[in-house]
Amino acid sequence: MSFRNWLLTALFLNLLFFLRWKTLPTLPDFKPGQEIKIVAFLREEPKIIGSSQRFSLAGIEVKTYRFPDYHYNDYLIVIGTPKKGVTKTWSLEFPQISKTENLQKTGIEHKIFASISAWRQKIEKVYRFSLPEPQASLMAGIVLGSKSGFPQDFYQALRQTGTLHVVVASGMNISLLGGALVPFLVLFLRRKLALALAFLGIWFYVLLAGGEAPVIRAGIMGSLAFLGVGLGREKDAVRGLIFAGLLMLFINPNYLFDLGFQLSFAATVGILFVYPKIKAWEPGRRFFSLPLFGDELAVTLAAQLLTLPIMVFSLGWFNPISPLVNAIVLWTIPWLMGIGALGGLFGLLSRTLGQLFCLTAYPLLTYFIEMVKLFSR
Amino acid sequence: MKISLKSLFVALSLALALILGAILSLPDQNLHLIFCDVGQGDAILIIKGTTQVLIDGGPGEKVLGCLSNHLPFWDKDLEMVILTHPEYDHITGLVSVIERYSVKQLSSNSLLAESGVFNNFREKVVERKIPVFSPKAGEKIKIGNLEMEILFPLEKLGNEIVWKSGENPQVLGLSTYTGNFNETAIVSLLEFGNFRALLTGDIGAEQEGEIAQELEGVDILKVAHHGSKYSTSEEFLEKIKPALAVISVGASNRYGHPTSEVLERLRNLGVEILRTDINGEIEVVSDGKSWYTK
Repeated sequence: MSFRNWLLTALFLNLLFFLRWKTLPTLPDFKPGQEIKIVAFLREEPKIIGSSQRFSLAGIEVKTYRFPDYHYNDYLIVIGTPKKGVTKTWSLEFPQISKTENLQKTGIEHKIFASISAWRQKIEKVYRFSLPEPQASLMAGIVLGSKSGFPQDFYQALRQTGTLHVVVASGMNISLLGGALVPFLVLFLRRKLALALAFLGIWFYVLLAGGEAPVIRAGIMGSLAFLGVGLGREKDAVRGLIFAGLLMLFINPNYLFDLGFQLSFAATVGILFVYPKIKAWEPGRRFFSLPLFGDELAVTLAAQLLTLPIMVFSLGWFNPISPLVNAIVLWTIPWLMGIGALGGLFGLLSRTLGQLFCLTAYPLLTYFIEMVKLFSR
Repeated sequence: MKISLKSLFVALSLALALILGAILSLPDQNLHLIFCDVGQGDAILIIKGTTQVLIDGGPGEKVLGCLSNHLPFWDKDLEMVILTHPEYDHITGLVSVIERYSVKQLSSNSLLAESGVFNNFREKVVERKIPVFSPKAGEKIKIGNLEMEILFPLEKLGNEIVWKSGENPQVLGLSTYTGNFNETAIVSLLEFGNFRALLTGDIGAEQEGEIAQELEGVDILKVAHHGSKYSTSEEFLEKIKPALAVISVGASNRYGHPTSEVLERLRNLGVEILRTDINGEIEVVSDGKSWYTK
């Protein structure tokens, strides 16, 4: 592309995003100390962290007691005094909450989301009934990106060692899923139909995994890759990444402030651009070609190099041994995803069958957990 | 399809680790009485062979770690769960437990409590159709080769329909219990050969007086109500003469448990004291003749 075309594209995009930004609904401005009442449907599954649960209701972050449980599509009345958060959002801590019936019909899309959310809970249940803790939570985190119900000390250990990203559904989940779905479907179907179904499968998974920024990014990039294969074009991950970023920001500019979005993009840039350079770096050749760990070390270093500024800026610290811990544990992830996905699916049919599958993952899960605990001390 | 050397290596070591792990976690034939370190609350795990009984779940999810450490990794069955009384520091962990373990039987009073966590617990018990029975003094519980005798409450409490129907209590014609739940706590005596352990929930001195009549000489006493001064009276201690007193309590809790009064009463009688806030998890092992702590 010539310089003039670059400039025009940049101008066009700027204009587009400016217009989009202007059309965003603004947050209501509450007075300090003013009591508010929100009456709305819960449009996400609450995250359970230790003895509290958190969810966002009509754009306001709510933190409340662990019990009673609230679920997707519950109709809630929340009364409390909001506080202004750091990221321009309002939050309510331990407000008064009551659940009521709503006779209003909910849209079909919410019924679909609610039933996907129920599936997710069913699969999580398979893990919980098959494995002890924290193995069960780790499995649910790796396969579905679930962060609810983690034993708190283990969650802290993951955070400390910089391995928390394994419980975020993202690129590896999507590429493994696509890589398994397509060859399987091609056995029975014509190629184009198989690709189309795989495409649907990926987006079902994106929703199943909670639809957070990293998995959406991966979903878009994965879909583009499939589209490329289907149309007989080379896949180009860099363009895919740029497209995914622009699309997501256009739909929801607030993603720009989403930590998951930032980390996910930075890590992908690292893997696409820095990883090949690290692999080719002559003095490090011997390390990075070690069996099992070497490649993971290179990938982690590349991703961490790019996410480091964001981590330091948002969390205020980083762990220098984090690439080492990652290199030691990450090779288990594709195995665990594979076993976990099969275990979860079979577990829906029969609990015993599911447990048999899940138990084969026990040694790997335990290895992962013990290593993370060791390095978090 | 090509199977790489790496995959083969990983698969084989997995299989080996699984077999080794299974062998290592096979249970022995001793009785294990474990006071889990769950902070300010109670969670007591009793294991004999492949039979496991859990008494209370503590105030959070820490009980899950205790179960993971002591049950074979494939065993997700609990033969019995006893809820001594439905207060926060005894029931909360049990919600997480029934979400993860298949509970064969629940032993609990059938009194209705009014709290989010109780409602949640009740909902799950009904949903999973866990058989519940409300015990009374004199009844014996036999599961596998474990034997326990119920010493308190003296009468069956509440209406068992609480655990059978998820209906709104008002529809069922039931009302919330307004008394002190501590005074309803299920007390049990665990017996194995010559070994006797008294597990007291949160009862007070008055209830202690009612059960002491037929008790003489126990090896282990779980000190009632985390060492509150209104429990563990001198008369009671003199009557039951424990060798070891275990206090399940959280470090620097806001209730000031265990109280200096109770600690002094125990010391005066020369009873050895172990506390979960200082000693962490406490495990007592017995072969039916003698016992030791780990």
